[in-house]
Amino acid sequence: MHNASDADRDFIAAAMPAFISEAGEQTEAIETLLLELEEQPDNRELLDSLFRCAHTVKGSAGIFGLSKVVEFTHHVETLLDKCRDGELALTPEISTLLLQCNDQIKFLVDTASDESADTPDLKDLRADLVIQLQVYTESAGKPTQANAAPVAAPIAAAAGAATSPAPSAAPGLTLWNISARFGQETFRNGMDPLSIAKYLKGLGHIQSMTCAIDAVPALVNLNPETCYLSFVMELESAAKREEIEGAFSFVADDCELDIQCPESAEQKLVRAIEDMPATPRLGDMLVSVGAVSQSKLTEVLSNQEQSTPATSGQKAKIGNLLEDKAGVAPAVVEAALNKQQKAKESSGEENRFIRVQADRLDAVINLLGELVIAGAGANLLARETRNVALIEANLHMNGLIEEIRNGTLGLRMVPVGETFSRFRRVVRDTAGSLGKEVNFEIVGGEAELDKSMVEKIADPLMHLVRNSLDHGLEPPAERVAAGKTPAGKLTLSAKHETGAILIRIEDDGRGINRERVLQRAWNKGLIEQGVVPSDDVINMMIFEAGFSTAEQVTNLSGRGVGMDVVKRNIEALRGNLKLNSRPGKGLTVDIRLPLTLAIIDGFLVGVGKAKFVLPLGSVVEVIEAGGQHVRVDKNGRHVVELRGNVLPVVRLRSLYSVESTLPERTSVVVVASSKGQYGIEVEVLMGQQQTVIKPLGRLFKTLRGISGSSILGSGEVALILDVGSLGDLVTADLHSSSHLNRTEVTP
Amino acid sequence: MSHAMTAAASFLPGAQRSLQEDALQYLTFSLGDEVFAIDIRSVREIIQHGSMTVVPLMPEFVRGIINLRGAVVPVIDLQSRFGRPKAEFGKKTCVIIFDVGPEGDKVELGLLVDAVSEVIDIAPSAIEPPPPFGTTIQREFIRGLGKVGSEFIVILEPERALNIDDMVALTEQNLTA
Repeated sequence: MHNASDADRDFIAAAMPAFISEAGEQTEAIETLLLELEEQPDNRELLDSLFRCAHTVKGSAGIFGLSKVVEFTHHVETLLDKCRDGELALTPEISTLLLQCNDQIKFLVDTASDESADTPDLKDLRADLVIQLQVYTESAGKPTQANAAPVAAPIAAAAGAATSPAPSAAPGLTLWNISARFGQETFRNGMDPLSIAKYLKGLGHIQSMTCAIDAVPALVNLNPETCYLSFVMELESAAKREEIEGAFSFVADDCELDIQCPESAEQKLVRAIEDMPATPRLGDMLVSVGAVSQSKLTEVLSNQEQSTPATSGQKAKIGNLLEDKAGVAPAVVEAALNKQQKAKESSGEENRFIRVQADRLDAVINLLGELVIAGAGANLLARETRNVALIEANLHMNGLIEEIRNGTLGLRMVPVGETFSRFRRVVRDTAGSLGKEVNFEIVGGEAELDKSMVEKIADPLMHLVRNSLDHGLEPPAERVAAGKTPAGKLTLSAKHETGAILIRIEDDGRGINRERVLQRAWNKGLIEQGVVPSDDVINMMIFEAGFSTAEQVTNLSGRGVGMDVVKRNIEALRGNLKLNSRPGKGLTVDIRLPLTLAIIDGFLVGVGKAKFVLPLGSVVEVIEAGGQHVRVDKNGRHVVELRGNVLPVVRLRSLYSVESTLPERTSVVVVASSKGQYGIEVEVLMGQQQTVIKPLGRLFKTLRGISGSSILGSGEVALILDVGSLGDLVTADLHSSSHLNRTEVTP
Repeated sequence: MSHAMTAAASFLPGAQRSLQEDALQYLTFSLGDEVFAIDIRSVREIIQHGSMTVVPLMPEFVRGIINLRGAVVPVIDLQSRFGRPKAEFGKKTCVIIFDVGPEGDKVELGLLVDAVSEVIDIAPSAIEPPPPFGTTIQREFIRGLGKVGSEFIVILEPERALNIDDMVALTEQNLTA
């Protein structure tokens, strides 16, 4: 006994992290659903899934013995149940209450293993929430389930009912036929069929219930920990199929479950076939449900043998024969055939997702990097042998490696939408507490970004969103006075843009008050008194440490911490921030992030012995140019003429002081950046290839014009050019930038 | 719980003391004619000098980056870091891969040296503090002078000599100079 409880503890400890992360997902889903329900309160499906989520949390918490979670969630569930039954409308007040409750559930789950995290204050808060929940619950009508008059519907026996009339149910209710065969491991998994039956009872009225004990072995062979049971019940309920199925969700993996509506004679047969254990033979199935007699089947089978043409190896289909000769209804035969088909298919339909630890994935990706390099090495050796078969084998292998690499790297990419939708709650609560109205919109949530980036960007985004709500958007009265709609608009969007992702936060509020910012900057000594820098510089002042123009410090923002952290965090990700303030009309914050760790399609170029990778997406065209075509204009800039236009050119060899002799011919790669098009003069073009970005690390953080490095197939490291910041170098004021002074030095 | 923690706390200094009394192992290597030593505990591995990618606009002591089994590691030229002419590649040129930085924020660095010699034991008692003057390299880069036989070997203090923040600052200077 002692060992068993130890094993239980071990099991629980091992499964706990999975539970916490799963429950976290459920609470997140609850939040999303609640917010969606505010917009469409009558959406029955949302309400149902909301209830399911709460139920799942409660159920799994029960397995782990987290009584606090179970107890608290139970109250939430009761209220949700009332809402679902239509006894209670999901008003914004209830929604707010439920959101608060959800926070508590989340907290309880997160701190499941840390008893000390739960302070008396929080306990009081929860008790208070429970009281509020109960007020709503009790105000709703008395439970209808109790009132539901027991309807004397004829109870149909499973097999013999083929000709009897279909059992009737009370109006609005459906009579469900549920049969469940529990897996042998059910008890050992900590489940109990009885509790499921009890739960089903809560959904409606159980008209009949039979427990099948035919699988129970003789006492000597009986293992008390093994489940041999199955039950068939008729449940009269208004519940939908999904809700009934939900009751079985914890045993779904190893339980044969069948839920049916009342049926016609034909349907009854179909169901009986589906209920059967996977029987491989069509005839046997039909016989056992009584669709055809054994003697008739034998007859048909012998006919089949005889009628098989000797030439074609194909037998006449038994199903067709049965239809023709034995008068079996086509639908019945089809059901039997489907059953056969199903038995052949694997039952993995539902497990479409697998949870994988990020470390493991990283380890695989690192190994893959080595595999690619080793593969390239082997390829090189194979070529040297001039053995055609060996070369081909190697090429094939390299092709496969490439595919594996692409597939594996793709695993790390997740859509940003998930992070974005978390802000719905923030926006809702913040706007509510500020007395502002906001229409919040999310655009382009399907844009993909590396998972680690997605996590790191969440906090800075949160700050910016709050800032827009607090400082940007005006209260309704002020907006109306300014000729705007009372509700402000806040848009969060994401899209891919030449090797980077652009995340934009746009509001139609008052924009940045430059005069006030400038005044503040003078007072704080951030800018020398009387000096008026350019508008952009003034705008960027809001990202300085200790800067805040808010007259009133709210509990959301205004303390001057945050915006500087935002800037720092984004820069740490090698991203950049851009503000576009339209005074009185709104503010747009653009965050450009490189797709660090992501795969990009690269364009490999060479300068001297050095190799550089350009993001292929930013390459517009390549022009052949003899060295003399690139000339120096009167401003000291390198330029090249392209179809009558003058294009600034970055001469990599001089910018990066590459030591080599200038070849006769060079090429100019024309790239597009956010600042416009410009050319990059290179010497060798090596074509496109898929590139894995390897960040360069802290030592190189001041380096501009280079966004990372990449390991080539040969094992060499190539630098990845950052088209955006390289463009800044070329378009920047010549006299203020040392890099460009270097550019002017002709080799 | 608290019991276990005090036990651990009282254990740790003891462990350190015992290490201090025992001789520590050092990896010796040569730069030009001089021999240096480095605490072996921070050394990960030693690899042969191979192809290296030069990173532009970096100070001379950052010789470039190498591919260490899929990880990109910067290589520091120690000669150049000491303000001497940068190292020439020879037959025995090696890269010592080691960790530097505070616990939890370690950075992998490669150290370009002319040759790696051997691993030796130096007892703490045989280590003298760096002399106030007369050293050919900055005094703060030296952890001490280890007496081996009749000779003194300079034991490097990598946390100072190869401090990432210092080197980042130098890089910045190089960019704006």
